This record gives sequence, C-alpha cells and structure tokens, in this order.
Amino acid sequence: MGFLVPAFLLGAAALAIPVIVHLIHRQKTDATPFPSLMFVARIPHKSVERRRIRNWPLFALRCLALLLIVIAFARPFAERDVEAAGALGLAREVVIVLDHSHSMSLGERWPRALEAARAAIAQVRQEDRATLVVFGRSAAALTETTDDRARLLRALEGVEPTGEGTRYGPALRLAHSIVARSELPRARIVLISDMQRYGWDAETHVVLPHGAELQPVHVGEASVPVTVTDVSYDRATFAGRERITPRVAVHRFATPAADANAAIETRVTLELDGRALETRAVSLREGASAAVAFTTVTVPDAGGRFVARIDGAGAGDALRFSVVPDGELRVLILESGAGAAPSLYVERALAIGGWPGYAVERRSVAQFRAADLDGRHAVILNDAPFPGGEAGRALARWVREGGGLVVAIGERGGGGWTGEAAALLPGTIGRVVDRLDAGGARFGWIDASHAALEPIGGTGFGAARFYRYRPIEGAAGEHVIARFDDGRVALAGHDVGTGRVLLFASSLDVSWNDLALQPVFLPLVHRLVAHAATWQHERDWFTVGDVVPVPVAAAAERGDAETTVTAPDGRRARLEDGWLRLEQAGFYEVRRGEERWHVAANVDRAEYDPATLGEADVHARIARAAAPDDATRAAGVLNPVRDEHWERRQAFWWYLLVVALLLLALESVLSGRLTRRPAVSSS
Amino acid sequence: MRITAARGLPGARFIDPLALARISSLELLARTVVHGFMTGLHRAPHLGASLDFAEHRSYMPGDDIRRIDWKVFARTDRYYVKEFEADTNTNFVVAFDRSRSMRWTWQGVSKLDYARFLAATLLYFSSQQRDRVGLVMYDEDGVGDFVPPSAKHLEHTLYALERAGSGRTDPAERVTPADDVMRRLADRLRRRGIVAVVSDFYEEPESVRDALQLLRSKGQDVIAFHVLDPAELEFPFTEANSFEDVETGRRVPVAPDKLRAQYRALIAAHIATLRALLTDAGIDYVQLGTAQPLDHALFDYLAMRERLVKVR
Repeated sequence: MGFLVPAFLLGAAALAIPVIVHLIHRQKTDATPFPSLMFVARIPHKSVERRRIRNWPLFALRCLALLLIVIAFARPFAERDVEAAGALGLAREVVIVLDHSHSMSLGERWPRALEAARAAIAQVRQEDRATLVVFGRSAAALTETTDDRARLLRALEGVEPTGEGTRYGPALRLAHSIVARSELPRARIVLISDMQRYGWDAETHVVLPHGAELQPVHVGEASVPVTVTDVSYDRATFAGRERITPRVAVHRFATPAADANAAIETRVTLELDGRALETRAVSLREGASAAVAFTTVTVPDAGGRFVARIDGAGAGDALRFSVVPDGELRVLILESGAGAAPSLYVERALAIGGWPGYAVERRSVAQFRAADLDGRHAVILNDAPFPGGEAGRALARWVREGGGLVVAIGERGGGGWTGEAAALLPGTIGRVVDRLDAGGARFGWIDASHAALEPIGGTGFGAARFYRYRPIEGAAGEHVIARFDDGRVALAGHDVGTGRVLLFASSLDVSWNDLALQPVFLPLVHRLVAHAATWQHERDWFTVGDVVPVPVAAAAERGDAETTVTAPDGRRARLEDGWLRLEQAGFYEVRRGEERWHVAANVDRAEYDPATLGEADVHARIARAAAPDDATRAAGVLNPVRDEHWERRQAFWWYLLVVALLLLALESVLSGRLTRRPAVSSS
Repeated sequence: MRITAARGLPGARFIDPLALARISSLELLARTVVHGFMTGLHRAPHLGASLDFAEHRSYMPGDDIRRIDWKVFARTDRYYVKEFEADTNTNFVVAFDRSRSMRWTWQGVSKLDYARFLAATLLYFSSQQRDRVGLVMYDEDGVGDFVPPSAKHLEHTLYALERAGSGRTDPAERVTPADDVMRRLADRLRRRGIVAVVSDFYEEPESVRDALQLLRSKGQDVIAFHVLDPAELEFPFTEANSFEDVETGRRVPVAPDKLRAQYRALIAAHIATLRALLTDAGIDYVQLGTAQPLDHALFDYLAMRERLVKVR
C-alpha cells in the first residue's frame, strides 16, 4: 500500500493530540485545595465535573470517521505488478484522427465518420486525455489534449469534408508526436477514414510508440467510381480567335464487387461558363478508360471556364479547366540583306503549327529602326551583324526591358558585337571552325532538361550535320544548352535584365549545316523563339492544395491596381504575397484593375479511387518503436506505470470518503439518541 | 461610651491585616491595634462616645489621673476615680477554630492568621478592660488547648494563639461535630461571660446555631465572628481542575467557569441564613473578610459589650 500524499497522514496524528491532552490533564495529581466542598458538592454533577469520555464506542466511531477522511486525503493506492494486473483500466492518451478529405463526402461516409468520432469521444474516461486531429493532404489538431468531452464534441461540430486529397503520413506523424509527449501509461489512436490505398504512398513511413494501440475505423462504402481524369485539347487560331477541340479522359476504377465484364453506360457533358455545350455517352468496363471527343469550341476573348461533368452512372465528378487565349507571338527577323532569302527556313518553320501562333516580319539590319520593336515579343538576328548606332542601342535596351533575342551566327553574323552589344551575349563569338573535311560535326551533348528544350526533349538532334560554326567561347556552364561533338558550345542562353538572349553558333539555313532539313528544326525554332520571348503555357487546371504563383510585385512596381481573389464560395481577399493557395474545388477569379482571369481547382483525381486498405494492411504499414525498458515492453504500456496512475485507476479515496460520511451520519444518529436519555443526578 | 460604627478612623491604618502580618509578636500586634483603635476613638469628633457612669471608688496609685472626678474632689477634698459600667469585670473567652480549613488562603493573609490577629486584639482589648480573658482551641479532633479565664492569663492566651498555626495538616479521618465542641466548652465555663467564636463555620447553619445555643443556654453571651477569605466568597478560580477538601481530603473535578455563579449564590445564602438564624437565637454575628481591617470587628465587639452591659 502506498500513498500519493503521505504528508496528510500527519493529520491522523493531530487527531490524537486533543485526546491525549484531555487524558493527561485528567491524570494531573495536583489538585486545588479548598477549605470546604460543601457548596461545590451541592451544584449538579454535570456542571462541576470535567467532561470525560463516557461512550467509548461512539468516540471510536468518530475517530474512525476522521481517520478515514485523513487517509482519503493521503490518496492511498495498492501497488500492483503491471504484468500480472494488466494495463487495462489505466489512463490513456487518446488521439482521434478524422479523415476529412474529399472522398469522405461521397455517399454516407461522412455521417458514419461523425458517428464513429462521437463514439470514440464517449469512450474517453475521466482519467484519459484526448485530442481531435483532422487531416486531408495535411493534418491539424483542433484541440489541445483534454479530458473535457464536451469540448471535443464542440470541436467536432465545425468539421466538414474538404476538397483535399488524402495523405495518412502527416496525420499519423502528428498523432505520434501527441502520444510521445504524453506521460500516461497507455495510448490509443483512433483512425476514422475510408482508408484509401492511394493515401499510403511509398513515402508514408510511420512509427508509433511502443504500447500505442491503433484502432482503424473503416467508414468507406461500395460505389461505382467513374471519374474524369484529364482533359486535353488542340488549339488553333481562326479569324483572329482561338478555338479548342477538347478530349476528355474518363476512367472507371476497379472495385472488388464489380463484374469485370459488365460495362456501364455514362455520359459526359461539356460546359462553358455554366452552359452545357454538348453531352457524349461512353461505355466503360471495370478498370477501363476512354477518351471522349467533343466538337471544336471557340474560346471567349476573355477566357472560358470549362467543366467536363459526369452524368448518369457514377455521377458526381467534374473536372474544371480554364482556357485563356494566348494570341500570337510577334517576331521580327533581322537579316544582313545579303543572299537570297536567308530566313526562308525560319519563316516557314514559324508559319507551321497552330499554337502559339507567330506573326513574322523581316527587316534588313540597315533598315531596322527602334520603332520596329513596338509590340514585338522576339527578334531573330539571323546571320546579321548587330545593328549599330541608335538602332543598336534601342535593340539592346529593348532586350534588357523584357524582349527576347535569338542570334544565329553564320557567315555575316560575327560583326558588330562590341561594347553594349557584346554584353548581351552569353559568351564571345569564336573564330570559324571548318569541319567539312571531317564530314561535318554533330551535336555531342544536349541539355534536354533545359527550359528551352524540355517540351521537345533531346531526340532528333543527332541527325544534323554542321560543316561550319563559330563556337561560343567563355560561356558559363549553366548557360550552355548544347555542345558540338568536339565539346565546343553550340547553343547557350541567359537572361539579360528582364529579357533573354539565345546564341546559336551556326546558321539557321542550309549554308553551314543541314539542321533546317531535319525534323527537329521546326520544334527547335519554335522553342527557341518561345523561350526567348519567355512565353509559357499556363496550366489550365490545378489540384486543391496547390499553390499558384500570381505576379503581384511587378504589377505593384508598375503602379497597377491591387490584385484581389474571389474564391469559389464567394469570399474575396486581397492577394499580397503573390501566392494563391487553392483550398476549394471550383473557379478562383483573379482581378487586377480591368484584367481578369480564372484559375480552375479540382479535387485530386485519386480521391475517386475506391481501392482501400484492410485493417491488417493498415497495421502492416505501421512500424513500432522499441520499448524504453523490459518492464514497459512486457506490460505493453506506453510509459512506465507510476504511482499516480495506479491511484487514479483504483480511486480508493472515493470509497474511503463515502464510508467516512456514512460513519459520521451514523454517529450523528447515535449521539442524538444518547443525548435524549435522562441526565445523571448530582451527587 | 456609646460606640457607633464608623470607618476611616484616624490611626486605623495600623489595623490593616497585611500590615499586621509583619508584626511577629501577637502581643505587640494586639497592643498596636487596640491603642490605635482607642486613639482613634478618642480623637473622633463624631463619636461623643460615652460609657455610662457606674460608681466612684478611691483613687489608687497608678490609676489614670484623667479619670479623677474633680467635682467630687472639690466637694470632699479626696481623690475618687469614676468607674464606668464597661469597667465591670467579666469573662471573655475566645473559642478559636484552628481546623484545617482555617489555614487555607488564596491570596494575602490566611484565615488562621486573620483569626489570630482578631482573637489577640479582642483578648488584649478585654484585658485592658480588666476582663478575665481565656481561650479555647478546637478543631476537627475536638477541644484542644484551654486557657481558663483569668485576669492574669492574657499572656497565656496570646502564647496559645502563637502556637495555633502548628498542627496536623493531613485530612482528618473523622470530624468532631461543632455541638460536641461547644457542649464541652460550655461545661468548662462556670461563670457567665462573653464567648467570641472565631471560625469559618463550614457547617449547616442550623448546626452552627444549635451548637452556639448550647453556650447561650449556659448563660454565655455569644458573638460569632465568621471569617472567610474573599476567594471563598468570589470563587475566582479559572483553571478546571480537581478541587480537594482540605478537611476531608475529598476531591471533586471542577470547571470553575461553569459553577461560579451558582457557588456565589449558595455561599451568600449560607451567610444570610447563618446571620438570620444566629440573630434570631440572640447570637451576634459578624462576617469578616481577611482583607478587611480589624476596626470593623472591634466596633462590633464594643457595640455588643455596650449592649450587654446595659442589659446586665
């Protein structure tokens, strides 16, 4: 037997003090002499005689009651062997982990999840402490660890499914940290989810403390999951307006109960700005995908909000995408004026392909004026010297202020690169290298990951032969995009101010090489021009949880109006840091002055994947930490069981107080009856 | 000389019991008290004290020349002194209670000492009046020392009083009833006189009356001096304890705060009853506290003597 607060036992000793004093005082031998007690003796016995203990059982009853109260305050407990007694009943640290990803809003999953959460809260005892954690792609604790069940229920009331995907790793790691901080002997983690398999990716590595119990609660249900997985479209410009021909990819997920050979019919509807354009039917077997093609649609000049929605079987899912007309890239080709049609191949390459479109003009360097740069996105200096005088200075200034310059060095392009013009180049132009005798040089190395070449990759470059070239010398390594087979730099590029310059060490016609005759020439020219013009294709849809950059700093520097964002639920906020976090599924509207565009946010497509994990699979994915000592491991507890844990479990103090109160009540009844007896007569 | 009760006599400061306690010799103490008392009597303007004239007698050498009746000398050419009625010789016996209860004191002078001062003063005073003085001691064991009344026994009586403080202190196995004591005393006193009983009278008033009436029945004039310590009247004790009867040794646990009021009422009733019964029986009763100056007692004694002489 032990006591949590043994100091209170001193109170029991204090109970004896008045009794001892009373008894000692009675035993005093020094009496007060008095001449005669003839009058004292006449006074009634009770009032002259010191009170003495007459009813020893009643006295013992009172002492026992007070002693029990003193012992109760000392908080007694019986020390037990944990292994023999078991950890059952000891205090627990409970973490209720509730999945509120988008998939939990399907069917009856959410009501079942709430019911399971309330049941878990109801099982929190007075000696336990609990925390409510919600998770989707990330996890957050809604409460501090508490034993207040009402507080947990209030926190639960405000929880709703979100448009986020599912990731179990952050949630279980948060539960781990809560349990690891606890000093209670036991722990229980209640995981309430539809247990989507995709949420357990290869990087989900969760370790729970030894002794922590994991209780998965599966609230999933069978469904016919058909989802729009992606959308693609061809773009073209017709009569100055952009048109798209969408193709919607749909997929039917395999489910255990489904008949693999049974196809279901469903419909896909394409909407533009809330108006249904076209509906197509599609038949899907289990696990099959299909591409649904729609007719060509003209994109509104201000951009269009498109939705591909599933109707019929498996209805509910929709994929939103936003299309903004890109317009044409205006390109100016500067030539030396010599030779016949030196830019023929470049012009024809830029004329082929629908998106982006290129509007091309040619000028000779001698005829070039600064005004020719107005409205241009890119300039190709095709085997021509850098313009001199004011035109050259204007060109350099234009590049630094955001223009794109592609320089192709041939027979006549090596001159004029001095002073300000030389500063534009990523390196210096070397002397002509003649490789005709060797049968021509080839590309020896291509940086296919470079932004300029990434869309086309590194294939197709090996077929081109270069008979002459002017290697680029002194280029920094990060600026090199391609090399010849002799290691000399063939293509380099760098940013100048807010503009960009690409330098090609050979010609873009067939005078020094046969690159223009290779299939890779067309996409290469497109990418060089687009990259120089810093043009990039904007994504037409994002996933809830993504963070989209919105350039506000540059706009603020230009004195443009502030940038505001209206979320799908109608809430409006000012965007100050240039980052838009997508928290809801739907269209976000971004406004800056008269400028307006939309950002489409969709639920993670994988949220419709019905593949789940069974309870055994969940436990198999959880690792356990080693126990801190043998006793803890043998007892299967989280932390060593301390005295206060036993005391809280046994709660002897409560029983002692009840017995003491009963004894005091009995004493009151007995003393009252004794008081009503006739008084003793005087001597 | 008519004696009237008075307080604050000039010279009465020497009669304070605490001051008297410093005087080791009872004779000296008695002489101091009497002379101081008498001096005060003579100087008191209001007294007009007079003793009734009884007769003349021839002047004898040694008589107080202030008592010479000059008118008679003028007529007879002979010296005669006045004899007052108080000058009549009588027996004066003090019955002195020296029981254990008389030795008790709370603060100040014990009852025994106070009674000795009182008895010595009365004996001395009576001796000065040419009374035949005697003394009888009694306690729980009965009658003790007895000095027969005689004009020459003053010293004997004072000596006996000196020794009254010694004696047994252990509780008595049995107590001699007061009437036995008084009966024996009455048998020994052949001649009529005055008997002053000095005691704390811790007996039932009826018993005291019956005992003192035995003396009255033998022709004695009795005056009872009831000596009590102020603590016996006020019961000022505060600490709860066992109280022990000094005469019987009996012990009783007492909570003073709870019985003080009742005790005071009982002892006040006892004194009142005793006064009433003794007065009805023709016995003078004087209640004295040990803090009281002795002049009160002397006044009462002188008043009694005056009355008794008249009746005689």
